[in-house]
This record gives sequence, C-alpha cells and structure tokens, in this order.
Amino acid sequence: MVVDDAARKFCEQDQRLRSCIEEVILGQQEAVAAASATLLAGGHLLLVGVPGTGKTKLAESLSMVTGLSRGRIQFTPDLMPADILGGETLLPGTEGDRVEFRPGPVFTQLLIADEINRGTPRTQSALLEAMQERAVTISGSRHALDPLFSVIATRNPIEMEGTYPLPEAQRDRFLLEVPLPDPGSDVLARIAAVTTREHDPEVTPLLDPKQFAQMQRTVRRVIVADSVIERAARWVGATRPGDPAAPAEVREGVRLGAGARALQALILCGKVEALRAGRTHLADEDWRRWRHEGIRHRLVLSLEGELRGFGPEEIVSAVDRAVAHLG
Amino acid sequence: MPETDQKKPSPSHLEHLGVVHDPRLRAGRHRILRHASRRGASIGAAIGLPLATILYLSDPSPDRGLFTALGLMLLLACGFSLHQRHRARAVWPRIWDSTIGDVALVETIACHWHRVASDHWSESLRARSAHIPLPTPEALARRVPHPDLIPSLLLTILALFIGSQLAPLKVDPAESTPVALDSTQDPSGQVDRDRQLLQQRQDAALALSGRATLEALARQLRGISDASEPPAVLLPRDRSALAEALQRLDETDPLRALVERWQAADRRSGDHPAVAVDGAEGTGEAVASDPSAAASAGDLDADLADGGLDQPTTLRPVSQPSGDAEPDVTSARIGQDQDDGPGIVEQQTVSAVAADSAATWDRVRDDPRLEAHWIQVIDLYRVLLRGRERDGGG
Repeated sequence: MVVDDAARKFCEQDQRLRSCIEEVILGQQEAVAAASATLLAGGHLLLVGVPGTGKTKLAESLSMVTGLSRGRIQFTPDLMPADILGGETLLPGTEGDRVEFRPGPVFTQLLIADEINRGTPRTQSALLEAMQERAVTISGSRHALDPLFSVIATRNPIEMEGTYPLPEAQRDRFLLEVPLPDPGSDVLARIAAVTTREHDPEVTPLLDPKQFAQMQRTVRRVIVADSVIERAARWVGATRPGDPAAPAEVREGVRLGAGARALQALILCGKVEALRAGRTHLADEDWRRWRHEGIRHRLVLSLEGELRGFGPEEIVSAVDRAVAHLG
Repeated sequence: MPETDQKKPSPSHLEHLGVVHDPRLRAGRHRILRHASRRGASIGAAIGLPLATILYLSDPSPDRGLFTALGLMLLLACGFSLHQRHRARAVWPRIWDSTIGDVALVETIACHWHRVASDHWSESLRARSAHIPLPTPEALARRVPHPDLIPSLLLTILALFIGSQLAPLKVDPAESTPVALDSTQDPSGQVDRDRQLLQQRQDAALALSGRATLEALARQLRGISDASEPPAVLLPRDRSALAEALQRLDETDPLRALVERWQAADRRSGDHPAVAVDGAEGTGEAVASDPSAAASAGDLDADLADGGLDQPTTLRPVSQPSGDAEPDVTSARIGQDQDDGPGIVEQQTVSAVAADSAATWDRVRDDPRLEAHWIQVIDLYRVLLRGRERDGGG
C-alpha cells in the first residue's frame, strides 16, 4: 500500500536494483537487501564472508547498478595512507617547480576496499575521516569528497595470517556488517551453471547518480514517531553493560556495546525497510529487521563473554528479552 | 532526519497533545480506554470473587460479611480498572494499530498531529486519520482480551465447598457464645444485657485468676464447668479475691449466690473465738476453739508458704487462764536515744505464749536449711506481730 508517488517510485527502483543484482549474486538475497539498504541509507557497508561467497562481486555489482563512479583499493600490508587519500606531488615547470595535489582513489562516489583487514591499522585509519566526514585533510588542506561517497569493504573472517583486525572506531563507521553465508548445494549448482557459460552475466546500470541521490533523499523523508525512536534507543542502550536495562548476558559478556551510530543505522535502514513495505512511516518491525547487522560489528566482548562463547545472536536475543517488558 | 530533530513528548503524554482535538482519534482513544477500564474491572472482579467469598464465609456476621465482600470486590474492580486505564493511556495508539493491522500508523499520526506539516508526506499521513477504521469492541477483545473467569469461578466454588465442609463459621445469634451476640437483631436490648452480664462474669473470673483454690469457681463463672465445691478453708488472699469477684458481678446475676456460698464456706471467716491450746504453740496447730480450727491453724504455715498474709490474721495469742501458764515477762527494747544516750525507750508486755512463740520463730529462723527469702518472710511477719501487739494486742 504505497501512498505517495515518490515512495512508489522508490519501491520500483529498489526492486529493480535488487533483482538485477540477484541475477549475478545467487542465493544471497538477504545480503543483497542489506547491502542495498546500506547504500540507500547513505552509509558504509562491510561485507564479511569466506572466499567464494561473492563479496567483491556484490560490491562491484552495487557500484554498477547504482551508476556511481567507482574506485577500488586492494588492501595489502604495504599499502600506505597516501595510496588511498592521495598526496601532494612536486611537479617541475618552466616557471619553477610547483606542488600539486594528486587525489587518491578515495575521491570517488563508491569506494571498494577489498580485503580491508589486510591493510595495516595506520592505513585503515586513513579512511576514518573520509567515512565520517566525507572529507580528507592532507597537508593541512581539507578536501571534500563526493556527497554520495560510500565505502564497501570486504573482509575475510577466517584468514588470519597477514591480516590486521579493524579498530573499533573503524568498525563503528560501517552502517551495517553484512555476512555472506556459504551457499547451499543447490545454489552452488546454479552458480556453476551460470558462470561457466560463454558469457558471464553482467549487471547493467539502472540508475544514475542523480536518481540514486533522489532515492537517498526519499529514505530520509520517512516519518518516524518519537515513541518508535525511543524504543529503538532503549534497545540499543540495553546492549551496553552499564545500562540499567542491560541483561545479564550483556553485563557479563560485553565490554563495549552499541552507540549512537548503531541507533542511526537501525533508524536509517529501518526507513528503507518501511519504504520497501510501502509505508511512509517507520514501525518497530522495520528497525528491528536490522538489529543483527547493526550491532554485530560494534559489540566488543569481554573475556568472560568470549570464554562463554557469546556471539551477536546471543546478545541480540538477550536484549530482546530484556527490553520486551519495556514496551 | 527533520522529523526526529524536533523535541516531542513521549507517548504517555499523547493525551495532552492536539490529538484530542481530532474527533476520530479522540473517539478511537475513548473506545480503547473504555475497553481497558472494563477489562481492568473484569480482572478485579475475577481476582476479588474468590477472596470476597472467603471473606464472606469467614465473617460471623452475614450482613457485615456481605458488605465487606462487596466492598472488596468494588475496590478491586475500581483499582484494576484505573490501573488498566492508566496503562492504556500510554499505549492506546499501538493498541489501535494492532486492531487495524497497520503498524505504527496511528502511533505516528498521533505523534505528529501537533506538528506543522513539513512536507506532503506529513500532510497525507494526517489526512489518513479521517479514514482510519475505529477499533471495534470485537477487535479490541481479540487483541486485548478480557480475563478468563473460569479459574476465578472454580476457586470460588472451591471456597464455597470448603466452607460448607468445615464447621459452620456463621453462628446462630440465638446461641449464647459472646461472638454470636448481635445487638442489631435484638431491639429489646436483651442481647446487650446478656453481653454485659457475660463480660462481668469474665471480669469476676479474672479477679479469681492466680488462686489455685478458686480455679474451679473461676471456671464455673466462665461457663466452662458446671459445678464446683468450695474448699473448707480459704486463705486471706482467696477471700479478698472472692470479695473482688463479688464486686464485679452484677447485683442481679444469679452467680452471685455461688460466690457468696464460697465465701460462707470458709470456716475461718466466721466469728469463731480463737483460743490457745496446750502444746499447740509453735506448731501452728489447734489454736481455735472450734473443733475444726486445727486445720485453720495449720494454714498458718500455708500462709507463710504463700508469701505471708495481706491482712491481720484472726489467729492471735491469747492469755491462758491455766495456772500452768508461764508468767508474763516484761521485755524491753533498748534503742539509741540521741539526746539521752543509751537507755530504755520503750517497754511492752508480751504474754508468755508470745514469748514462747517468738522462741519458736527464732528456732525456725535459725534453721540453716531455711532459704533466705523465707527468713525475710519470718522477719516481716514478726515485725507485723510486734506492731499489732504494740497497738494493743489486737
């Protein structure tokens, strides 16, 4: 039941966008929905999965269908911040040498940071300012990035050698962390059938940057009752061990809970979900849809939590039970 | 997020917002609150019914029990009704949403009603309020059901069953037990008089408490036993207790005769002249002329054992006309006069019997087996005797 043309148009475009990607990324509908919701909400996306699950393919497909300009960085241990941000270069000239700023790959609309955990923390930190403020400061000069700038990073959770864990501040800047599960045997068969033909399937651009920006604005127009935000805030607050509503699992097993960015992620992605449901107002079920993806990378477990084998699923279930009686 | 940037009260304050000015939202809110009130009243009644039944069964007065039970039911129903209504005031938009199958529509409209419409979506959302179906009683009953009364009824039946199986808690007012007396059913005042009579008997029995020899009489006054026989001899404390009990009884109480019979049965209470008997001094035996006085004299020891006499005893040393009697001796108590120095300050004459009795007391008092408190009792008793003799030998 879509009540507005803009909302109806959003639904149609979003549906086409996801359908187009799902033709290439087989068996990952949830991941595709979460990834597209992240970009439509204007956030950064972290794709996590073992090799062969289509992380990079999904990132490239997203950049293709949205029509956004794309930059790609393959993170390696010897990657330097200047390789990402760019730098000032001394150029000789007839009228004397001059220093010129050479922008790095970060100056794009959609940056694919492949295997981001292979970069050193120093290099990873180069993205902090860009992801938060959509601007970078180089040699004292601030350079604004594109308003549609987003980062799609991929991470392999299994491989440990030559990798560096993402700092908490870096992880918090990703709106959602979307896991790509191993495909089932039937999906594997379909993948083999599709990718072994003469021509691989390719996605075609469906939108242009202007249309994509309009979709992002439409998301922001979704009306939210304060009571809904209060309930979401109460839920996020309960993931903190110091919160009065925090359950025992959180108090004992979590060292650092979710914060304001997590609440923003739930609300913004919830707005996308509301539009997908044909509504122009947010409901509880919209933001609750994303609570796993919204806090899984923001939780820092304590030693006891790790010893007891807590994970995001256990924490989310415990918080659900704890705040259920709060209404 | 322009919508959320504005400060907005929590949903518990929705009733203070402009939503109350929208007739449709107000009507729906009113329906929900009314349903919540009824539901609360039902919950209160369901909880209160077994309790009220137990209360009614346990109250000896049917009218008062009925009044208390109905009062409890009413109190619980009103309390739960207000509680449910108060809770519904904070969540009525969500209840409404749940009845129409739309998520957060009414909640969002109610929350944004007071705000200036910032764009087309806000206007259209507000316009939808006119088309929102009102929550029907059936839908409300499905979403917020009334409590199941079957457990309450079962508990009530169980309470009634147990009450019928136990001894009847409600006593016939005609019965004479104090709790059954109900002055509201006796316009002549007879019940009040009976109640007063019973109370006086209880007081009289209370006056006899602690006296072992009067226990039977006290039980008869309380109505526990039917008959009692007075003992042949009463101690002075027994006599005073009987007098006190007699004072507490009503003049018209037929049980006064019983107490008076106990008083009359005391053979020491008569005017029997007490005489000294040869060889009886010091042993406490047979100092009265009455043939039965031996027992009374023997009570002297009992009096001592009982802690002494509260009143002067009728047993007193008397002059013996027999020539074998020892002559009177004059004893002098030598005190210390501050002005004149040591000297005779008081002289008194005691009989030989008294002197002999004093020797007996000394012998008894010096008995090493005697406990200290009995020594004190003997000393006090002798002081009492000396005082009476000093006052005139009475």
